[in-house]
Amino acid sequence: MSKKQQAQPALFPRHFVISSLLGLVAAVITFYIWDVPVANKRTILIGAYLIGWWFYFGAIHRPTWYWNTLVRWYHQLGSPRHFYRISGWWLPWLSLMALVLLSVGVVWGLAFSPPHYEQGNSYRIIYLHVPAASGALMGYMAMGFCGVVALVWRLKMAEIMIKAIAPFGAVLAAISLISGAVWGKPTWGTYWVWDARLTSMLILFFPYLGTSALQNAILDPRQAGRAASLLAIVGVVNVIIVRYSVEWWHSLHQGGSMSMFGAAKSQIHPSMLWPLLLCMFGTYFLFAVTVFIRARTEILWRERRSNWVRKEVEGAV
Amino acid sequence: MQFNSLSEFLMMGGHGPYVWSAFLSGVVLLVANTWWAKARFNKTKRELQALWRRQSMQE
Repeated sequence: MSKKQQAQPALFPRHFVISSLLGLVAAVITFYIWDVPVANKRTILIGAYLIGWWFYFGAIHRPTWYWNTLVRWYHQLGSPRHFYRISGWWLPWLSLMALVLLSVGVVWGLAFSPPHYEQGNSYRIIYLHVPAASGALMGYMAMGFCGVVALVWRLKMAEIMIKAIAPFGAVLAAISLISGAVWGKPTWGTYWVWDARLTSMLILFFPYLGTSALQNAILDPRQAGRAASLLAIVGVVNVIIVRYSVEWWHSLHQGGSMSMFGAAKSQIHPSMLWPLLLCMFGTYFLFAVTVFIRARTEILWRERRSNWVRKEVEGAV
Repeated sequence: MQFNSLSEFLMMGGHGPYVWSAFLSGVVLLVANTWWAKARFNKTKRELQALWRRQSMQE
């Protein structure tokens, strides 16, 4: 940033407001993911604020390297052709990571981690339940983010991503409901209660199915994409309800016991925490794998009239 | 290893049916989902080839 540009007082207020807003959004997302206690909130707020500031100043003053990188990312991420090429390179590695992490995590969790002192061996269902539930929630947040991008910037790739995320998100929500019910029987004495956490998780299932159904029901893909993005954004409210349901209401479901900061810094012993973390990251990798495969399918179909698709498909056989 | 024998591992101290049914349904759903996505990808490729073949025959 040059000295001349820095001395423009007229731009200051707008910078200030927009970079503060960006920083605030970054901070809220950080709090949401990491469940930060108050003592650390100040540090992260300042950090996020500075990041927002840096992004916005970069976008206004446009130093060449920064702006070129940003523009290149935007075009590459937004271009179906580039996404198809890059996801093709990534897929084998992501699949390998998912396979290794999930198999090690599941075997460790089922056979090697110690039994729970109260629940005995039934607690081992968390190695399936927690990764599935957190994957379903994070997948929905990603879908809501894509919905915003699709509505504001009309990015075709964001619409494709919504369609690619929805099926696996629904599967993960189903797995977390089924495994939770099966765990509830020996632990709570019942498969199901109409409790805040359980009910809101069941409701999460519907926008996942709804976005898929909308995109299949409307023939024009761009129009279908807009309708689905709107539904995806509205459903984010429910994700927040799921997340905080155990704190807002007296729930039968226990509160979270994993955290990265402060006094609550994870109340799980490492012998149980490590296999759980492996299963969680394995699930995220598997999520990426299926999203990439589904996005590639959609790209081939939508771009079927372009030459590069023809070359890609005819050349492969 | 927390279990002394295979039967102990399968029984899980009486919780075996719950643990194994949960994991079985989960693994089946995960594998089926991934396999289905991959099958759709291959099917789309075949459909496109058929489409282009029809088009070139009409020309």
